Amino acid sequence: MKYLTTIVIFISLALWPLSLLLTNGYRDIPRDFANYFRHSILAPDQEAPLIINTKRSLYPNDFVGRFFNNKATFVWGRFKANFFALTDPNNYFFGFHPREIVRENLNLDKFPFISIIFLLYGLYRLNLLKRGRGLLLLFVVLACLLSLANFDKVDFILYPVLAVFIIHGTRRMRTEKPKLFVAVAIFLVIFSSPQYLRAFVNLHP
Amino acid sequence: MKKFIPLILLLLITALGFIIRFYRLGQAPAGLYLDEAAQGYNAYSILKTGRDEFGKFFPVVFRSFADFKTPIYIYLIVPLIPIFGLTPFTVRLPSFIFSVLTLPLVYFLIRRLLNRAKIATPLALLTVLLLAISPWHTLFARADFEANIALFFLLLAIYVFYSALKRPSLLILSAFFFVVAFSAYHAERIIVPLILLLLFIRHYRTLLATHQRPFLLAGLILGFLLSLPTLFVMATPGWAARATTLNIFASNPSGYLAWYHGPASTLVNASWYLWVKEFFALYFSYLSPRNLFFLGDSNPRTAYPDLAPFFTWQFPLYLFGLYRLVKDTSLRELRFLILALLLISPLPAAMTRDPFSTIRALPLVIPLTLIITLGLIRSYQSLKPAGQRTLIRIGFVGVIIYSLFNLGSSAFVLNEYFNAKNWDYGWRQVVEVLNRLDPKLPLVVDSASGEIYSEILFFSRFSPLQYQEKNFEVPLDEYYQNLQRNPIKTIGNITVRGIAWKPDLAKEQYLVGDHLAISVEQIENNHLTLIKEINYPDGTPAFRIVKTNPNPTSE
Repeated sequence: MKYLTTIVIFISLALWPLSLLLTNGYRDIPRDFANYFRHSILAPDQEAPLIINTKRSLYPNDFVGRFFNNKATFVWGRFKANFFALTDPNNYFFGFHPREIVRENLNLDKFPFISIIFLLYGLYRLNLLKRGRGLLLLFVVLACLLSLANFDKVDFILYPVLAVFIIHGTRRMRTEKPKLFVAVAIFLVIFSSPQYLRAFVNLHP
Repeated sequence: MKKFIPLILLLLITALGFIIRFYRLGQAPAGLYLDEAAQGYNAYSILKTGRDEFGKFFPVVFRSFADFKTPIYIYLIVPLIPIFGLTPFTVRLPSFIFSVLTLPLVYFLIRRLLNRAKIATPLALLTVLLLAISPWHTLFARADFEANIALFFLLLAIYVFYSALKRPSLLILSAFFFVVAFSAYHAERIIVPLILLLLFIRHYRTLLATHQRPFLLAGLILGFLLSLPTLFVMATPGWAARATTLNIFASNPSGYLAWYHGPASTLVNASWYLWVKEFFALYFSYLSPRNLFFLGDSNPRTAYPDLAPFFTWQFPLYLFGLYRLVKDTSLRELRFLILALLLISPLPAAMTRDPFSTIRALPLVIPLTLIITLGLIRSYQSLKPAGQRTLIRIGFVGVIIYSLFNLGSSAFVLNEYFNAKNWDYGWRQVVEVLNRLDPKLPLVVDSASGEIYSEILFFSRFSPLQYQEKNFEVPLDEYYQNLQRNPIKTIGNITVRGIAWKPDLAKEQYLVGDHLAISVEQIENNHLTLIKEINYPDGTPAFRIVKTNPNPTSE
């Protein structure tokens, strides 16, 4: 059981670093960090005033038009786009599928999709994780900070927090629901084999 | 007096939901989508002749564009036409009515499931309030969507089912409502059997008790008999063709690497892996905050601009509500129902290719709204000082008012401007112009942009009998099987088909088409006379009506 747990944890956690390694994405992380705020949500957009003004002109009352369509709502919209992407389970387990981010993102599969069961179980038993709530808060704070600019690859910073939740979920399930754990582990091994292979071949069309 | 307060509040909230859904019903969304037009005209045809547009006597499902539309909605429109006429308002009225009726139904369902629990009344009232102002539920209430009717009957069937646990005779009525839901919309054909199965597993002891058995048997027999027509249609090639085009298992799964033929191709392109992953990716997308609180539906007809199915402020409440739902066993039967609906509702949608289809997953709006309300109540209860609670109450009223304005801004201002094209805006205006043209000249309406003949039939209120006589698609005994289409439709002096420029320019007639079919250059080069240009609300051209000049005088 102990070896199986180790295998499960390894399979669950190795995909994201491996994908970054294979795409050479890791090389961009220091550079992206240095230029992080250049791609900020506050960066000027030539089309933004046009869109805002068009929308404003549709309202019978200018105050209402300005209230719902202004620079702040535009920036808030960009922040939300990033924040909800970073809190989307499909981001981490399905490479944003079925709603990939075009051009600005590698849309990597970060964890094998079966591992979502361990993450959910880990969150379900969060009260048994030492400093679990603190880690959750840390995740939210980091996600908020990452949402201030283009987050692709830089979001690897969230990896340790998510990894702790997955490890916790794996261990708790092994202790509390051993039969379920074995079943999920078998599915993980079966379904992650093609997923790992694809990490290698996907890059060479 | 005190016990009437919740009912008075329910009445007020329902009135709010009524106003939001009724304001400019039939006018906003501007235009009438071709499916709406087809359903309206088929109802009109049934009213006038007892047959649909193809001459089929009271069909079990409507062939329409060979997409086999569910029948309940169309038959609900029929009695409304003599009262309100054949208008967009009439076509959208059933959806509106059942959407408003869903509000008190949800209240009574929650009350029934929670019995006398302390949380019952606030949870029920707040859920109804959030549902009343829900962008997701409101959008489907304001246009012709069968899914809305199916949702109402699904909830009604569940409500009557729970009532039947104490009054067994109601099982027969419950079975009837389940069949109505089953027949009303495609997604319910998966949801209803699964819900029934879960309800049976949970309550089999009560259902199989001696005094219940006769009613259970009667309900099963009635349900089976009433489902027969729908089951029969589900076995036809027409139905199979529709199911095949939509479902994710029909062709190469998403992610299939066609270029890869390496040694591991069996594993890399393993369809079992790709299909399972695709299904779960789609399934989780229906629970993903990104889709629920930010992106919304990718189809512009089933989403309001700049507004997701739920408001952003509801996001933390959703997460907290989910957590409390899993942990909180005091909700008992309601917890079971929320979880059942939450897990089952995305299933039909997750089997189809669209990334996040709010129409196919409409029943999901109920458990999600309940979860958000649960999060709201539990977080409110966790506040101890009275001052904090007062502040939260004031803040909540402010947030509700803001949400109402936000909904109004998106549904009545932005949607009209940005989405008019997606709602087939302009056909009413086109038909108004066509009615004023010389009736002796033939008229060709370009059909390149879809099944627009339904729009002309609808807005011209063309005689169904004449239309049935002049148009043949398939023999009536092959109505449900034969998928062959007739691309040319004749509506009086109007022919709906693709424009064939050379022969069509050779005779004097009117041509109608969108801005691509009849461009400004074509008008100039072919010496056409522009009769009328109809524009979308954003000023871009929607349709052009021109007259040919076979022998133009040289200048």
